[in-house]
Amino acid sequence: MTEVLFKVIIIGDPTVGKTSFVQKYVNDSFRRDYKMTIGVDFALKVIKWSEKCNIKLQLWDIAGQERFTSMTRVYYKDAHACLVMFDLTQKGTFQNSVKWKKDLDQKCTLMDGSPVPCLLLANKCDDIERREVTQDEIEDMCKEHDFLGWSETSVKDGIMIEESMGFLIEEMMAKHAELEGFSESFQTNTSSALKLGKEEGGKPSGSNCQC
Amino acid sequence: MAESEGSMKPEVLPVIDKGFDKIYNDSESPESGLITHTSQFESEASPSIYVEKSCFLPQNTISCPSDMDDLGRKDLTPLDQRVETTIERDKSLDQQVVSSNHKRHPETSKNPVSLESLSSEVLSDNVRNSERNDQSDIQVSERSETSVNSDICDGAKIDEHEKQICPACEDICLEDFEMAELSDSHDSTTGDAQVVSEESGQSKEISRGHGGDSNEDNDDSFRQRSPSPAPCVLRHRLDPEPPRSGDTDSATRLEETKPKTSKEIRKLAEIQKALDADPVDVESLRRLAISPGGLINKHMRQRVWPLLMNVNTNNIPPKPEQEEMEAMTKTYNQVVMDVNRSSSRFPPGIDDQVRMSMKDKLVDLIMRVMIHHNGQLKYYQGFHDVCVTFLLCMDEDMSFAMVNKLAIGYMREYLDETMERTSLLLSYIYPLVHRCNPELCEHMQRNDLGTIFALSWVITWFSHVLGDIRRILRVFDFFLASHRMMPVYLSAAFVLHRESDIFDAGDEMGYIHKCLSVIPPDLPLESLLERAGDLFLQYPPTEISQDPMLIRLNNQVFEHFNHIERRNARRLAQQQEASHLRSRVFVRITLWTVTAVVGVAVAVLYHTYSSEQWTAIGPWNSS
Repeated sequence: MTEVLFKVIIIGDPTVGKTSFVQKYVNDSFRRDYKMTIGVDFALKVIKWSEKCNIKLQLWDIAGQERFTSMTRVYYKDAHACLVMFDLTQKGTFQNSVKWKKDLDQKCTLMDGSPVPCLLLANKCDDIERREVTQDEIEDMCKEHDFLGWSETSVKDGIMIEESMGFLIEEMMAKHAELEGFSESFQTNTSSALKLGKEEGGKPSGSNCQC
Repeated sequence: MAESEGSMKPEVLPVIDKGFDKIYNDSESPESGLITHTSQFESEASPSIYVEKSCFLPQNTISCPSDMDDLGRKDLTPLDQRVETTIERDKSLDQQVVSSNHKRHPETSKNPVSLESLSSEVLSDNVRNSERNDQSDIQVSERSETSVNSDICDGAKIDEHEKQICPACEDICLEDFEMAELSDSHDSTTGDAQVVSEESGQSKEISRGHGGDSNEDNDDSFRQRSPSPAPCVLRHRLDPEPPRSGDTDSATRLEETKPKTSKEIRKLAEIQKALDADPVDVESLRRLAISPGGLINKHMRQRVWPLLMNVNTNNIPPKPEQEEMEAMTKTYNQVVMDVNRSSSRFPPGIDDQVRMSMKDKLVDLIMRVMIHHNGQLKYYQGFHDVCVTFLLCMDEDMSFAMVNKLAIGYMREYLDETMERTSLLLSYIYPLVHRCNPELCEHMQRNDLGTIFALSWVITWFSHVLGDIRRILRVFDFFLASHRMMPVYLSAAFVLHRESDIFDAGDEMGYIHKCLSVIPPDLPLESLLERAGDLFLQYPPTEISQDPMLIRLNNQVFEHFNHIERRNARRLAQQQEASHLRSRVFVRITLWTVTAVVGVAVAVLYHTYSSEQWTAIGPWNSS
């Protein structure tokens, strides 16, 4: 049994639903009155990916307020993938997701120099009446700024949470295989979870950060 | 306090506080010191007498060594005098209000759900408060003091407020809610004073005899203070309250108010004694706020906190206009957004409308502080957690005075433009942990834990994470009476307390972070406060600031922020250059266009002129 460790960061403006998303995905619970994140929150989910492979997914829920970013950038380090989230009912958060993406690309790349795979999530799609962003706009932005893809989600109603994460994990697994080839010296077939976990979290498939 | 309750026996009373109580004097500078040791022994023969023994220690350690103390007292004297002089006058006013409330209560208490009746509940609880005041000397002037505060702020302003904001929501504070809840199950006899009289017979000796005789006459005063209920008028665009989550954190749930222990009663008496001293014995108050149990209740906090902070309760500037608040668009929007999400900070039993009204006041309070400093302070997420704690404990004006003082004193660094100075403060945790437990420190550093786990602890004074408002208020007692670095020392104490959990988390930064960010519900808070105090005495900030580890960490912080600054500067320069380039191109194009236009104009003019001449000449010539 092999165990692969992936680190995923979730960024985006405040109140778009990052904490709710993580809690929904990890604990399958939803609350309206989550406290804001000050600094960084951490969550872990272990996924049985196949008969032979378990995935340990570290989710780093990063505070949205701008002034904290000087302290939270450290957590971009070694990220294998990223979720940029915005709120469909607040156009400003959609526009800012470009900033978040640029910021990420500036600080981090994967080991082979490619940008960190990044999924754009348009949250609160259940609130149709207050929706301010059209699908075409999201599509355009997604293409223009090299997002891996985008999806509408509703944490409240549990729409497209598992699917989005599943998509991202597949992407990370593909990248993982690719990078294993890229760095032969780190190619592993060991069954030692800890050793592999450490390697995964470290140099081989992690990212290069200048932060 | 809860731990010792069980062992209390009527005949033989154990020695409380294990003999020593460590006192950490507040001072603005780390040097101006700190250490006062007193011991509190309880005499077995006379359980109600709380003997203070300071003779164990050299006399010179008992008083604050710096001149801060004198200064503090000097400044505090006017407040004290004011309280003393206005107290008599206010008592009568208070009784009037009390009497009318008392009369009103039976009609309205049957429907505790509606806003009006809740407020009546609250007011009726004030009756009980005041009745208690009547019975017990300990609390005689608490209510008066509350009225004194508002009275002094501006008598007319109260009416003004009542017009703007739902009158029923005025002056509703946490303990009122507790009592409102209790009033369903207990009748008007329940409460501290009842316990006082049950537990220590002596309190009857000091009770005063004005019970219900003045209760009948003054309905007018009630009507003045609480006009007919109006719908809640909110000044700010707050979201409607979300439906309650079923799984509200049990830690935040209000517990039944426990009967006061004799220890608490004695402490209240001691606090009262310090308040009654002339001048007010601030050092004793400081010691009492720090010692186990803190300041016991809201009423004491209302009186003692301003004294601890040396806050001037006179001439509190009025609330700014709504427009002025909204003019600070960015901050205002952020504040409204954060306040919208602050529901979990209010007691779960609270009525939705009351909570909305308090949220509205919370926006007012934060914006008032920001405007008062002309935008020099930068609001941060978490500051509202601090503000709401005050608002749950005291009225708006007093909260403003307190938060305002905190903002320029204890919390100034957190309100900076950048997080640099906050990061420097947080770095203190590592050398502190290192001195007590080098292996733990090494383990944390090896895993690049950083200091962000303690960010919310320090900048919100633990109010973001502790859940239970009682614990939060207790921590605030401790901090307000201590040195400004104390939150950092308490953070170190928290880390040291979780030693085994941190080691168990293994070599994985995420796990360690998670382990620290979850505060266990059975946290032994009092012992952690004591530990923090010990750490402070053992390793004062002046000493830690020389620690090579701190210097190294601070250099990293400097480097990090310089890096950010340089990058921002570079980005700004690039932007400027780009815009400069754009403007240069624009200037050139403009110049060319102007030249071309002028050229064409000249040509046309010349042509016209010459053709005119030609035509003028032509016919003349031809003729």
